[in-house]
Amino acid sequence: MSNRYCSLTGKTDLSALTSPDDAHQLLDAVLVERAKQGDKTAFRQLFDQHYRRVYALCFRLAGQAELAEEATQETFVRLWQKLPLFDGKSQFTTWLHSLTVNQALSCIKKHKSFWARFLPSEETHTATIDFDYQGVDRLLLRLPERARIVFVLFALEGYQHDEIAKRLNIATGTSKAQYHRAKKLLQEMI
Amino acid sequence: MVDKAETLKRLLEETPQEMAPERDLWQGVELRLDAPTSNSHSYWRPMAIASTLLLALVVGKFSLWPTAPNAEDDALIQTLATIQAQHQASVDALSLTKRVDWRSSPYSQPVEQGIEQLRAAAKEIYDALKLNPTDKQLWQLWLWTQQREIELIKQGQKLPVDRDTTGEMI
Repeated sequence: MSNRYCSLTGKTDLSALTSPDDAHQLLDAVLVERAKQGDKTAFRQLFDQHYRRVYALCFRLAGQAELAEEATQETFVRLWQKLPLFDGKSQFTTWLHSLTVNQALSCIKKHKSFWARFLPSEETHTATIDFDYQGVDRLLLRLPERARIVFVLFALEGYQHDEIAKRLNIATGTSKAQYHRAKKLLQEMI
Repeated sequence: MVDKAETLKRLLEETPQEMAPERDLWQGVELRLDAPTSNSHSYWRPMAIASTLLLALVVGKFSLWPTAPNAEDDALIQTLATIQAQHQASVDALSLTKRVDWRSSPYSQPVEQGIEQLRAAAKEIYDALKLNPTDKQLWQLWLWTQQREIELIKQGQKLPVDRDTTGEMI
């Protein structure tokens, strides 16, 4: 990927593509290269390519639509600012995923630090459940915040407990305990 | 329980990787692409640090070299009034520089409530400080309410203002 990425500023070799994933990666790389130069149209295309994935991750971590929308916008503003730092050594989607998790957790923390002063407990979660959501998404909204975040990162996003612990600044054992708690609660809800 | 575990596993496998938000998020992003990256908090922090240092100096001076109680109180009350005026000037400046009327946003109500609560709390603390200007905890609390008010106003100004412009992305 990195070799292909490095050659993107010149002509692109489409014959080397072997799968739709390759095509997407190449398109990302081209758009990233142009957006790095300040091309907002290219950045808009990157947004269109990825905002649904970013929003899904933010929604599942935040547990509410408004906060997820804010986190999604923050992620893309941050992406625009940090794009010049992206060196193409990793896949763009991997880099964006990590940036999204950071921004979503930061947004959750920012809101909590203010509103938690007016709310009765840390375990307060969304009072109204939106029945528009399907499957696990509908159930996740009913989980306590910390358990939901750990469960989403481990069970849906494939993070290891030590990575989750590092990001949330908790012990690995706590991450495992929160995961099992969330899993048990979800099974009870089914 | 085994059935439920299987059901959960199946639900997780079926979970889509993507979700569509209910409104257009691009407009809010685009508006901020040209904004300076570090100016949002930069001007408040020096003021807060300066105020805290000034407060520490004033309180420390009067603790180490106590003079007549009335003179102490007068100096602190004067400092209180100065900081209050500076804060009000910052709030006014933010109101003047705002680009849109964020109060028309459908999401503005919680922010406005938060600001109102902060202002009410700040006024009570201010009144209490005038009666007891040497209370350090009251000072810290008062400065904190001012800082949060500024932050909330800035957050409010970032809110989307026109829901009618939303639509399909593509």
